[in-house]
Amino acid sequence: MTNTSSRMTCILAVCLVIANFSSASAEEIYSNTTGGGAWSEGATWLGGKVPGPDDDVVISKDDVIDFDRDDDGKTSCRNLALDPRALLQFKMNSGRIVMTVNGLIDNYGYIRMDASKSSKDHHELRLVAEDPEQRMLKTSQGGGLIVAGRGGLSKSRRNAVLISQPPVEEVPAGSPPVDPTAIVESATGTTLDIQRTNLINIYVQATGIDNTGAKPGERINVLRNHFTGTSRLNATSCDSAIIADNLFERDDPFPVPQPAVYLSASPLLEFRGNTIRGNYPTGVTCYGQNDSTMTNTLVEKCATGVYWYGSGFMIKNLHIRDCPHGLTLTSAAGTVEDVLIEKSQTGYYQNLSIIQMTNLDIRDMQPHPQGYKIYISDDQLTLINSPITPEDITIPPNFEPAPIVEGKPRLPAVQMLYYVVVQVDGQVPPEVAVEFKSANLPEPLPPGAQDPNVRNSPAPVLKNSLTPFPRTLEPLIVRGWHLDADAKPQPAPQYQVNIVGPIIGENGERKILKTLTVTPEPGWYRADANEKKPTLEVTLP
Amino acid sequence: MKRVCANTVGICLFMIVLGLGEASTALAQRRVTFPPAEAPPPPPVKAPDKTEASGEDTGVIPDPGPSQRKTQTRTPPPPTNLTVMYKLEYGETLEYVHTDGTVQTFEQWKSFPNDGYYLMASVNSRLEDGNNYQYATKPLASEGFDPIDIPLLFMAGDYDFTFSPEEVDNLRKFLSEGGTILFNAARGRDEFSQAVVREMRKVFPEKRFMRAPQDHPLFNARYRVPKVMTLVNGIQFQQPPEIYTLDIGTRAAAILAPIGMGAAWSSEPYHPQGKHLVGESAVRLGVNLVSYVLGATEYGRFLAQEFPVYDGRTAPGDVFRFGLLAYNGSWDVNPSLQNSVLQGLSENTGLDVDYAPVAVALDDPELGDYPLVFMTGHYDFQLTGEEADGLKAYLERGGMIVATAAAGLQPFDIGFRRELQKALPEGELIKLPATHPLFLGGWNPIERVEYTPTALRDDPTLEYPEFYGVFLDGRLAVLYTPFDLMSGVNHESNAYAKGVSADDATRIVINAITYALSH
Repeated sequence: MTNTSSRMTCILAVCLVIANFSSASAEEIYSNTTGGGAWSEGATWLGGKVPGPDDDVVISKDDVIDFDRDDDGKTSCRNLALDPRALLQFKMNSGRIVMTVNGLIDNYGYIRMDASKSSKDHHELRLVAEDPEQRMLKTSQGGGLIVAGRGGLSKSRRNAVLISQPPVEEVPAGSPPVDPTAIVESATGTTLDIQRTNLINIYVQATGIDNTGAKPGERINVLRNHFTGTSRLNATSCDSAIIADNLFERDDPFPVPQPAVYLSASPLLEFRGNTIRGNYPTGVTCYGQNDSTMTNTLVEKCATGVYWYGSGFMIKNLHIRDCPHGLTLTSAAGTVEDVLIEKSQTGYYQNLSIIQMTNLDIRDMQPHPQGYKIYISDDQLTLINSPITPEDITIPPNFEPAPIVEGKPRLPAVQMLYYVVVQVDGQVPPEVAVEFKSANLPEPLPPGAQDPNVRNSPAPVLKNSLTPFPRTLEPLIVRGWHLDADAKPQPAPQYQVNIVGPIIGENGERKILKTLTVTPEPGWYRADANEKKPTLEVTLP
Repeated sequence: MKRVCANTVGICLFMIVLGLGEASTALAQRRVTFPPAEAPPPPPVKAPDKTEASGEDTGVIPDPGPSQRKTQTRTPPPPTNLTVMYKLEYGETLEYVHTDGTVQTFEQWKSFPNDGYYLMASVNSRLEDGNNYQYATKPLASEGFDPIDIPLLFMAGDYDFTFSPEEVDNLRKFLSEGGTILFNAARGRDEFSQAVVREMRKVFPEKRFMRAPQDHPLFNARYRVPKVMTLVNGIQFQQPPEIYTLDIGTRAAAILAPIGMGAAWSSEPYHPQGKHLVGESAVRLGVNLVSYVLGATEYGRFLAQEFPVYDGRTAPGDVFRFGLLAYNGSWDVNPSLQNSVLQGLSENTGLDVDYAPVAVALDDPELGDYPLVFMTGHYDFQLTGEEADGLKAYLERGGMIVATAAAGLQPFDIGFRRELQKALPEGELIKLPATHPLFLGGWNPIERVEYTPTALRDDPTLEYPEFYGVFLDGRLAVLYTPFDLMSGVNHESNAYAKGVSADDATRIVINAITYALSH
């Protein structure tokens, strides 16, 4: 018993000595406050000791530290803090530079990884802390994170890398792996500029950054990056942010909990040229996202392609492929143009929204009991030049018709407008125009009143014998079929088409040269709206 | 009985006159084919309570009240009410026939009746500068427009109009005295914009509207607005903002927004056949326009002054004479610049000078009489073949040109570089080091330069002279800066000039003159 207890005492004493020794070796090391220097030089640090793997590092105000090491397989430091106006920059033109941080990076200064000057440079920042709360790069007011890889490298190679690489934990077979994500967080009053960078298991969270240029030192640009693993992006209240030409890819069979891109309350945000591909619950979620644009976007193999809630937005050139749910708009008001949705179970879902949609094409639907090509639960959808018929649209039994307001016309739930290009041949005098008029209105229009079914009439016949193409912004547009305010299908109206000569009277009268009657039909859809192909051909005698 | 008859005749005549009056009013009601903007009646507006210059210290000191402890919650002082804008009443009563046959008559000037109100509300909420900006309405034909009281006039509409002679006179006087007018084609109808261009020729026959360049302060006075969301005939897209200005000096005295902002400001529906700026884009541009005008009032007053101009030569013989290049562009944007330059030169160097203003053309044979000439402007320009030849000959014969972009605007920079290349294909415009003798070895050595806040906002690192030169046979023949020198030399209080501060601008110009005279 005595032997056992004295053995235990010895072990405890050894443990205490070891504990004391290890705590004595972990220090908080400050930069020299005289301008900084290279990370690997003792003179750069107060006390002359170069930081080791267990040390916490503080870069002092106005010091500039050049990180000049390749710490691949090693740890550069534990926690890292940058004071305001401190700068940590990865040494340029020095080949492979890797910094490995086993703790929190608390950044009030600037971190600059500029590998854009040389293709031989490789700048990499690794966050390897085991504790997810410590695996974070947090930039606060006045600070900045600038990461730039070099353009024009072969294939998709990027020579700037942000990676989260915590120790691997074993999990039972079939279970989802432990989330390896690290958070890169930037708040109001900071610079977040990430370009041509590989982000691996990095969740970028930007909040309240003003990119209008009105506030010095505040900007957010996320351009030409490759987000892989669990990497994703969240921009909340980031005025005029630019997110462009990024690729988000996730091959892992286990989905991440959030969308690849989450945008919220960021007015005039520009989202363009991005591709999202893989196992994300949603490709792009926009929540309270007003007055912003999404252009040239491809979303593939996500559970939902794009979800948008907001007003005054513009979506243009959106391609959604292999997503069970294609495009969902709720509580939304905006314009959508050139959308192709392929291989979905529900192509387009609209709820509580007023949308104008041009060239919506939904193809290769994947049959599903709860799937619909287009589902409109209420409010209004105006389709322009789209290969859609009333049969493609599902209206639920509890559809809420538009309320009756005295003195206001009841707008249709869904209406189809067609672009019309008329070719006029034969003996065509100068200044000929094409005039569309509704043929069978319940009551004739009073003189001077506008035809509610027609826009941009009369349209001039141009030198190419055609009326203006849609790209001129002044094409002839006529209404086709529609679902009325109670969602009852109504056929397309008939139109009287007058080919008219030049103005001859003071009140704009023109001589009618030829008249015909037409009814819009699905064949009027123009796959290439500006193709030099007429919708109607008329030959004058 | 006769009296009764006379009375009856009088009454009849009066009735006829009345009837004619009504008939003429009815005849004046032009029928239009574009429907009026639908909106509820405007909120009540009233004339300003008192006459007070906007942007000036109002002198309103809140009653301090009883003394308070530091821990007590204090009520902030109330905002100062400032009426800064008149929405103009103009035009005629129009009528429109709705599809159901209803004929609606409406006042042309009202457009969106609430647009002025909402514009001011946006300005107040976005600027948050402690003022409560307000607007009132006023007929343009009435008297009493004074830019010191109300610096901004706002005129909106969708339809053609013409100015009466009184309206032309009022507007000319107002703009010449430093005021600004903002024309907004409420729903982007071209007939309104075309009428603006046509009618403004009556106001300033010699001036033209020019498209404001992207770096114009109209696009960054409060917000940076590089692109705006635009809706044309139902098609939405983004594009750079399209604003036209008619300038006095470099100040935009008349601003034309041909793509409508009224619907967005008033939260009214966009007309499918209109041209609109959409949502936040329109609000930001509107706030910028008002901010610009508020920030340009001092500069407007400077330009409205009468400057002394000497008719003939003020000094005989071999004295320094100021020559300013006249070309087909905005060459005369700094009023009486010669007085400031020559006074600075005379006082600091003792050189004898002649204060007579001289505008000299590049193809003028007298150009050779001037060893150095100045050139400035704020818009792009093109030299004729004769002008380009004249410039080349002048420089090769030993002349020197000092050129500077007025207000630091890019169009002049683009035009100057291009036209110089055309005149001197072999001459290369190279950046001068800050150690060039012109800066360090001149009359007053200059190491660092103080730039204006507007220039520093674009580039906070500016601290050295940013000058370019063309050397011919080793001699500096062209000295050019894309920043504004002359508004500094002229003490123009132009808040939006991207240039060099007054003192440093004067030192540089004097150095350039002494350098030219000594080389």
